Amino acid sequence: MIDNNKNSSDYSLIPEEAILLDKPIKFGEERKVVLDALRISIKERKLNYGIGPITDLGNPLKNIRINNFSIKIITTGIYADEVEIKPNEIEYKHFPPQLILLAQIDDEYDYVFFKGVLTAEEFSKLVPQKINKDDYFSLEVDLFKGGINRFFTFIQVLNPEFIKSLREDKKLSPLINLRKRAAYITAGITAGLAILLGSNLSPTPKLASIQSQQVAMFSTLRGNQGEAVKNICLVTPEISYTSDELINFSEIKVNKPLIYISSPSQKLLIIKNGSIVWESSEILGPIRWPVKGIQKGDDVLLRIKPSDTPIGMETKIRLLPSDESFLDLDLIANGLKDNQNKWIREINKNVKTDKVLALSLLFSEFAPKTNKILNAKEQLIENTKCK
Amino acid sequence: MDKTYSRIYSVDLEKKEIYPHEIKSADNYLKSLNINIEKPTRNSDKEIYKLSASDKLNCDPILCLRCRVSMAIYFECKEIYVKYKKKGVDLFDLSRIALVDDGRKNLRIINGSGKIKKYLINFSFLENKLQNIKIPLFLEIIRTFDFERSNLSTWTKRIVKGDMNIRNYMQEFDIKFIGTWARLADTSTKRIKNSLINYGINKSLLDELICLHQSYKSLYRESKKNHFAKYKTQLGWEPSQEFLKSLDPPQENQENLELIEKALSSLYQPKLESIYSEKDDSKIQEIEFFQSANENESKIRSLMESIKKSSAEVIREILKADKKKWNKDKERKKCWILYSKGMSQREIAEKCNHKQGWVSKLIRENFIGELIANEVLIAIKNKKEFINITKLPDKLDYTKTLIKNQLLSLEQITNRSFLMQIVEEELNK
Repeated sequence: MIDNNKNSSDYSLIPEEAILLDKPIKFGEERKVVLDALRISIKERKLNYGIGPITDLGNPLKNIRINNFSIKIITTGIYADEVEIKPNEIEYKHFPPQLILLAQIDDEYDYVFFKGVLTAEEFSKLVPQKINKDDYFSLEVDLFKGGINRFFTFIQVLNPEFIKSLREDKKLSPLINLRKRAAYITAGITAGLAILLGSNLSPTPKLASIQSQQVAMFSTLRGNQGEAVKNICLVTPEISYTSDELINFSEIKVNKPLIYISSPSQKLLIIKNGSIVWESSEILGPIRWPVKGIQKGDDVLLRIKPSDTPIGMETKIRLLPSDESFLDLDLIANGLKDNQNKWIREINKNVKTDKVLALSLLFSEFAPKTNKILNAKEQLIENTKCK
Repeated sequence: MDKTYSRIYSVDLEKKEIYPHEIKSADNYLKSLNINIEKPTRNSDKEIYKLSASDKLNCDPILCLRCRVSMAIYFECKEIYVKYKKKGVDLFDLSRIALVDDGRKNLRIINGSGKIKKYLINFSFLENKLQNIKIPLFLEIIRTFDFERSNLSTWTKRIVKGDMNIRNYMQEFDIKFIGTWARLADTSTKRIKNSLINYGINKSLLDELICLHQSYKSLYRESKKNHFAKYKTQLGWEPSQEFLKSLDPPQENQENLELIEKALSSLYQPKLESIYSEKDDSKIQEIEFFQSANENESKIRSLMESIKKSSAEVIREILKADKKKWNKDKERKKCWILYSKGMSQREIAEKCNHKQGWVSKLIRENFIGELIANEVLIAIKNKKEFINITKLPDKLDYTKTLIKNQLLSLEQITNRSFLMQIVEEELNK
């Protein structure tokens, strides 16, 4: 026997990208801690993403959804060199995974280290050709590349429409099936960029990052339910994810969110706690919240029907008041008074972290009617037109 | 005669040094019993432990064990220091947390009314551990010692690993103890087999140890679950006698598991390095070549403009947030300035009188590089010439590497990165 003691060590470094959790990890809560770690990462990067689906999120077999990507999370211990996967533990129904993310958990030092991510295409090449659904196969953890950073770059930059998803028969689906494709909001399609120029001596609204999202319309007719034909362009509210029931969810942090649909729509209905409280036809462009401000606990549903698609097509958006902070728009506006620079600074402060609040302020009836603000509105409308 | 059981390692707070000193009563005790130990072993640990248990009121045999423990702690501290001094670990700072035994026969405890109460440190004291009082590390090691399971040196390592004060100190430098039992449970059979073969284990023992490891893996989780249910923590799990006996083949002690662990550590150190170290030089060279020879000029120009714009925006935001703390801590500003001049984290730490860990947490260069790279990618993704990055993950990886290389690589002449230059520009605004 050789004595290799000199080479061994009882210590190692905690990786730079490890996400330290605030609380000790409880036994059996691997899924929860991975989701917590993802939330910490999202916050640290100041991204405005939610994690879906809203129901059954804690189920380890369920794929999660962030920014319209379907993601399979695999967890293993921090010292693992291989991870064991059973085909039966991958969810193929509804939204098969496009990305496979490996999280390594250190339950003694309470951190999560995202080893890396594989696209469904990369992953499918590694799955053995012949394998029973109930048998495990092993993959080396080093095959998962790029850590949490590769993951966030993927979900921020890639267009989910072009990223294939994994299918049960191990073939890849390019998501051409309309039902599946339509379930995703094809985010990141920039309708336009509004860069507003002005004097360097006073602030100008910086709205370069404002993009519109394309949101799928679904058929409500019997026999075609779930089929989608077309998308609408939506600037606000922002969609965090789409549920299995094909309802889009948007977390809002302000009680009077701006509704801004940049493609022609026939009808917009606001349904509050089960009753229609507002209805309008032929809407286009930004609409200030037309009814009493939303309160925490309200169930608010927007139903949007476009003018140029067959009867029975619509998009549903459920607005969820945020648990973290829920602001009164009028109070903020009141605090800013008529000071243009204060308004612009407040808008700029929020433009990256809370687009809905920023634009709700920009289009607020109390916003100063100065050239800078008016130009900003005009250019934003011009540049976010649906193309 | 070996002095392991009669020499204690203590910390001199005034001189700021660690000094070993003879404990006469321990030495006399060993001599009185004609115990002549050439080298500390599990048997000698067991013998002295048994003596202390049979002579419960006598402080001397426990004092001998305390000497043995202090040496084991000191070596542990030294090992950590040697390995991580570059990260800023200080031997004295670490030792003053871990080596708190001064060799006295009394333990002084301040009670609720602020009065000091003295307790004789003997086996009886350890047996009747005082309620609501946390005994020091060196006594905790002796109190929990089970000679059937391992020697006192290994036991010390285990308990040191679980000590929160030491863990907290090491975590300041992003260092952690490798969890022996967790590691054994996480490791694949394939890797265990390779390491045992490499360690020179013969065929007959090899099969037995592989079988043992598989059995360990299958029972570990359930046992850990029970441990959590009982103690409400994942820390501190150790294979109990019951657990060892339930293994296949049943084990009398931890020796075989420790052997597997030794073989494993000798061949594989946990690969938990930063993902930033995944940098592939050949890939970067390839990109540079690609950039100079084939790349479309306007594409490069467009990319460079975006890099410059996004870098300035991101850095401005970061500095704006950090400036709020400059009044309270002027070193922060100095740190950014030195960074912009091209200094390494170690150099900055020296100049700012801070530990390197503090600098790396203040200037998270790689993370900033990530933020900028993502901003650039978002800015260019709708441009015709870059449209592929939204469709093809490979192209996206490639373009991101190119951007990060541009941001973080040091220029040969100035020895500064593009990011450092941007920080300087923003600081001067």
